[in-house]
Amino acid sequence: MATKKETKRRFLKTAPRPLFVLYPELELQDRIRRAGGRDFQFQNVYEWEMLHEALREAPPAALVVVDPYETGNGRKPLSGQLEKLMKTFPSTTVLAMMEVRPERGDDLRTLSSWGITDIITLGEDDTQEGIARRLDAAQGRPLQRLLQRSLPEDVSGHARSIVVAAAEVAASGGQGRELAELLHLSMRTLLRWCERAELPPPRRLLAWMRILLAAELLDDPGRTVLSVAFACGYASDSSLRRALADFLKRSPTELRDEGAFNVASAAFLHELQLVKEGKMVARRKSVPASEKK
Amino acid sequence: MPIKPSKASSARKRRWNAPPPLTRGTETIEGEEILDEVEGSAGVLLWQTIRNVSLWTATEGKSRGELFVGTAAEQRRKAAKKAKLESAVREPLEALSQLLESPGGIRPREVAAASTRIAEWALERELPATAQIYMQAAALATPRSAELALRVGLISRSRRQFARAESWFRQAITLGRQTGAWPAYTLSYVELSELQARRGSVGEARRSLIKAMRAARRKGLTAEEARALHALQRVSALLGRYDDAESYARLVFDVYGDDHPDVARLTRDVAFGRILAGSYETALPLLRALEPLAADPAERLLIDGHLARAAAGLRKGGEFEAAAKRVHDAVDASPDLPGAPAALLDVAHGASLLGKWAVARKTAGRAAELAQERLELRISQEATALAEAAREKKTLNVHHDTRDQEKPFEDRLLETLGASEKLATPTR
Repeated sequence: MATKKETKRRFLKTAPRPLFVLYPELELQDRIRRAGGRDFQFQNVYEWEMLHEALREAPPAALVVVDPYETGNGRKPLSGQLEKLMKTFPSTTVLAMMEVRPERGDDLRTLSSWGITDIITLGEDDTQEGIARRLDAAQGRPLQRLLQRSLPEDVSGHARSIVVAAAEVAASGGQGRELAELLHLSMRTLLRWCERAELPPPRRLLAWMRILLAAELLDDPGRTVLSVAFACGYASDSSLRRALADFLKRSPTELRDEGAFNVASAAFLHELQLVKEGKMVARRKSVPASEKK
Repeated sequence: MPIKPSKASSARKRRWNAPPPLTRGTETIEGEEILDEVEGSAGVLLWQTIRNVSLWTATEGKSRGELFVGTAAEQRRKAAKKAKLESAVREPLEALSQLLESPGGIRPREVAAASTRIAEWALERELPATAQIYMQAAALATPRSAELALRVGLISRSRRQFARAESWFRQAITLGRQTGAWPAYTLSYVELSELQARRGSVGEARRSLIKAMRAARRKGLTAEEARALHALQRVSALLGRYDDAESYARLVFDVYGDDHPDVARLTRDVAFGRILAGSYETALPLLRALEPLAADPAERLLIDGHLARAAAGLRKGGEFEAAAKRVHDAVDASPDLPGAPAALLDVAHGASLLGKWAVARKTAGRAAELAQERLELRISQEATALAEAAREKKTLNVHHDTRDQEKPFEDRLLETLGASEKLATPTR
């Protein structure tokens, strides 16, 4: 059975993820590039403006590694540019690479409030292996966090675990097979688990995750509809429009006005309720050939 | 992160896999709640350490050796010396700093033991988030331990992270079954049933408890069996299976004996079952007997709630008013008391039985609000329905006494004689 990393590697070959690095030291840049390996398309950026520009078109699976402090000598404050970036692209997965000193508890809390996903600690876990693990663990976290917040309490722990795993897979461009492999299951068992947990079938669940990802990106003020469409793997903005109309009965502009993620998550929860009440089939009678292992 | 099924698991055991337990909540950076609970350099130290542990546990054995920078252990020791730490936490932190020194050499059991000690220290100091994350780290370091998975579930539940707790109880059940840790398996089912009942899935809760009871019985675990039976008594009453509830109560009492600390709670639960069955006259004496014995404010609150409902059922307006006032006073004084929504719901039911519709509506509304805040969905739904019924001047869930066959034989004879005038005056 494939390990989690092997599983990811296998399906990520078809969906390379950009890894933007805004960090001044050349040696660390190189270490991050090596840690990303073949899973990531390493892109060095030299200024915050460049990073803004790059993120405008970036897919949801993109990762960013930055130095969170202002440049200069003496006691440096946290970068205002980073705060601005997080306000413009709140859905982006950003890791801060910094030295963690005993007096920096407040800085860590501030970074958390800005939405930074994780910290790579200089002089501690900034080895190639350590960085690789941190990048791996950061996948899909922003969407998982949003989902955890929006799922109601009557969604069982069972269902929640599958949804969280599906968010991770969808964020990396994976399909039902990858979800099954991530959970160490066959497709058939995954289908049964979804049914038992009162969830839609895996393929439908992942389609919902992609809609939720698109909605999450639409809420980023820095992105255009076209960039969201490309970022989520749609061929054009009309493909995204069709998908949103199919699932949410709304155009991207309408969604933006109403709060895209809130509308999408409400529609997803409504479907979960329909599955729970048996008004929607949680499982097809026979397993289609495409879902068989 | 998913816990991989053991290589040893056979095809027969595969069906006992469970979805991976939830290891994160809504926090942004892993472990950030530690920084909120423990201020200053000690908090940063605990935060750094737990992140080292989780990075280590998420990495396969052969890659662990290259995780950390060689000089990190020395830096950590210096930082630990500067931070003013109690010995109870200093020693396990010191043990965990070995992770940085030789990540490939330290054994998972040692990591789990040190993490558990920190979690226990945090529980004593009432630092629940710190306790939860360290206990979880211990469970992830030894991913075959059903006991540790159960403990993570219990801490998560106490933090009202019910979905996370459920995922860990299910993990403990799976591991308990796979490794033969039957006490943890049984208790996890009991705890899981409490969560299922809380969110309104009472039937599911009953099925979980039956599994717990059967396993405990099969393995001769008397204490665990009693806990399962006690919970079954409560759940059966909620399902309207009053005869079953009474039978379970008798079985539990036989196991508990006279001196068991849970006899008072059992008595209250029996009284509540009888209230639900509409047998107020048999519930009231039990509750009156309990009232002076209850020292714990939360227990007292529940007893007062039941008293109000039972008294109302017997049309004892004065006794209802007194008990209802005690409930309102207690909830006003400390709204965080466990059982507050349930007690208010009882008072609302009592007011409804007495036809005090305005009081019933208002009190049910308050119960629903509190239950909603605490994610007690079953109570919230019942209270909302009761408020709605009270608005239309109707009572909700008027149960009929189905316990006739349980009454003493002479009582039943007297009742039968009294029911018919012809029989009341026997002829020769």
